[in-house]
Amino acid sequence: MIQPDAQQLPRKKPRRSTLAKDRYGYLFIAPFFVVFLIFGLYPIISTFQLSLQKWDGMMPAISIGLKNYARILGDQVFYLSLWNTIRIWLGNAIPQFGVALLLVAIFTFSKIRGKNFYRAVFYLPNLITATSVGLLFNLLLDGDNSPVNQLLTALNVSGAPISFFQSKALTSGLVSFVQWWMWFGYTTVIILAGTTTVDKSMYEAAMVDGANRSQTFWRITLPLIKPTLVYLAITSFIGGMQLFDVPLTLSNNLGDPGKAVLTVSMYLYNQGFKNFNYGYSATISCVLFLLIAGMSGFAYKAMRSKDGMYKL
Amino acid sequence: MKKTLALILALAMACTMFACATTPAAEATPTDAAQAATEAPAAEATEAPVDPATLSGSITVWSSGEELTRFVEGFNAVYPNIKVEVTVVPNSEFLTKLSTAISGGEAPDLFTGESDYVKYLVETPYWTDLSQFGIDQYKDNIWEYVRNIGTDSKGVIKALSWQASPGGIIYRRDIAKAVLGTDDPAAVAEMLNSNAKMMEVAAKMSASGIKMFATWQDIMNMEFTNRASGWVTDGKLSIDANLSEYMDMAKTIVDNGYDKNCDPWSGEWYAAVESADCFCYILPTWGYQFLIKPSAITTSGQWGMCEAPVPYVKGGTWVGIYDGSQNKDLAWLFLQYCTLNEESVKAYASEYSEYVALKSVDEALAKEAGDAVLGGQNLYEFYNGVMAKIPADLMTQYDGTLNNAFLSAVKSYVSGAMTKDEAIAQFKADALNAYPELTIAE
Repeated sequence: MIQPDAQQLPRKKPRRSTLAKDRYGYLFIAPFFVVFLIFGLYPIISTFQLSLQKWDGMMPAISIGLKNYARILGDQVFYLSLWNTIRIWLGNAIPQFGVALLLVAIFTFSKIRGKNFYRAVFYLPNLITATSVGLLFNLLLDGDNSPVNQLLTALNVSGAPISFFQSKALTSGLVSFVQWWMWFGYTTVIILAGTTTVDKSMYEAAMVDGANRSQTFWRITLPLIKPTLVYLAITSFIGGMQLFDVPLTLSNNLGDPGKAVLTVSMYLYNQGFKNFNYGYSATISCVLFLLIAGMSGFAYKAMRSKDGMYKL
Repeated sequence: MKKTLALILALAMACTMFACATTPAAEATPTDAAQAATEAPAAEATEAPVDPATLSGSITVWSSGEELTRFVEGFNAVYPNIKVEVTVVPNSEFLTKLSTAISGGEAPDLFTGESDYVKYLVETPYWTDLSQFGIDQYKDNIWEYVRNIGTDSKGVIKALSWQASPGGIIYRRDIAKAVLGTDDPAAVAEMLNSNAKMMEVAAKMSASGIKMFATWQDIMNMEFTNRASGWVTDGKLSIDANLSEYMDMAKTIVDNGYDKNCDPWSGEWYAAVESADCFCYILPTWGYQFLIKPSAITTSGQWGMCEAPVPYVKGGTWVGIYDGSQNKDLAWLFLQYCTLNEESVKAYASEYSEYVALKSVDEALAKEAGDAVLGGQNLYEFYNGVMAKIPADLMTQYDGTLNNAFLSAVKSYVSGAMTKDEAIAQFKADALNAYPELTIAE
């Protein structure tokens, strides 16, 4: 009876070492979670706590329950900033995807010399920090003697010099334009990368079946890069909702004229760091978080049809 | 489910930018502080003189401008063993960083407060009562206005300033001579002593192809003194009738093209100093120091200062000692050196042509030679005259936000985007939005 026991003992050892190996996995992913818990989750929880208080940053905070949330429901400026944010985002996301898809179609179907060069050039604006871009456009356009106005005056354009930053539509359009200019290259590059995953034999099969270029693009390329498009749409939406630096540097802090480019992020920044209503600022932040989470979840679900991601 | 979870996590991360608190910019040195507290003997101003070299330790200073760094070298010549570490924190994030530092227990020994929020800071317990250092003996030599701003509602002096910022009209003598027939400050002031008269001169200038102002926005510096009370009294917001009149004047200026249609601190605003077609700026001391003096190269000697329709003050930076500081005595020595020591303040004023808060120094400098850029006019003499007429302090803790909101509303009116009533309604709405606890005075 001793023998079976003796046999069992050595067996246990390898089993244990297999188990122990599994734990290394947790160790490897731990750094992310530690960093996330400290710099991600904790600030979120503390922001939520702050949203239930009235605090100016200096004097002790006072608990006021859900008053901040009640206030935000009737806050016209918040709704205005939300609409501004969405409008500016739509104004840049639609042209951005349109242009990117057009460029992708061109790059895919025609042999263009220096394709990589163009790709790099389109991507370049993305390498400049947004703050610098905002300031750059401000310097180009602000004032009667700005370079752009001098050019327009020299060309005898009617209405020149134009006070770009006194018109709501122009200022808002400019922010959209700057955002588009900064990001269409990025979108193009990512979509192009997505198209490389499409099996060449698909195109060949389509050609054999007599499909033309447009049909190939709409029926084969697009459906197959849908995961890439979903990813881009969601990240673009998140980025768009958090839009801050370009409108801030392009206009003044208040998003003038007439709050035309006051985005939600700018509004919460002003409430927090200019007016020192940290509690209310945290409330705006929480509401924005819920909005982004909700919208992204919805978009994610809607674009992921029941048949799976690879079918339109 | 896993993907949804991953998505939520990713979203959560993306959103954290809103939650991140800013970190303090300067490294406080608690160990140094503790050391200094044990080493440094209490420096009593009234006691028998202590050899300055025996005082040692280090103090930290947060300043929203460069000015305080200019005192360090001179200070160390007197107190070689007191190390002063000045950190310049940009004004736009000063309060945020300060509050973080205070709650983290790492506040600097001394910190500044700009005019936009100094009234808020003096009401907090963070600046210490300066009477413990014998501030009373200096009181009468500080311009009343400067002293009042640094005093809280209970009458405790908590902050001082090295500077005072009265203002007038800084104008081009050559243009004045050509268009108005005289460049004498008193005569020019007489021609500009009301809003209506300024508009008359503006029309004359315009007829000669000259813009009266660089921008109508500069006039706001003066209009904020031209009120019966500050923005808020006892929790009630009021818009003075003079501000309403100012809105009309701004509109007249823009509609008639009396200014260069640029923003303050923009490239064009600076460039107008050297241009042939811009008559004047309505700016206080800092306007002369930071705009006219450095920019006037070919126009040096062609500038003059005359009184504005209303004697005014605008801006300024105050500095106080952190109440929780372990080095209050050493900090006081530095504060005293920068703001109360006649010798050092005078040396500073002469070097940087800054108008200072000590009456005796301003009076002494008024007797010295004038400024070359101003064609020999003595700016101290001029500003002393203005200071004597300055009304009581109209600053409130709401000024930073409310001044900007008002400017924004006036801009909307001036550009034609809003009617005057709409602009005023807009301003009121913005004020309540920023400070929901306020009420509107009828």
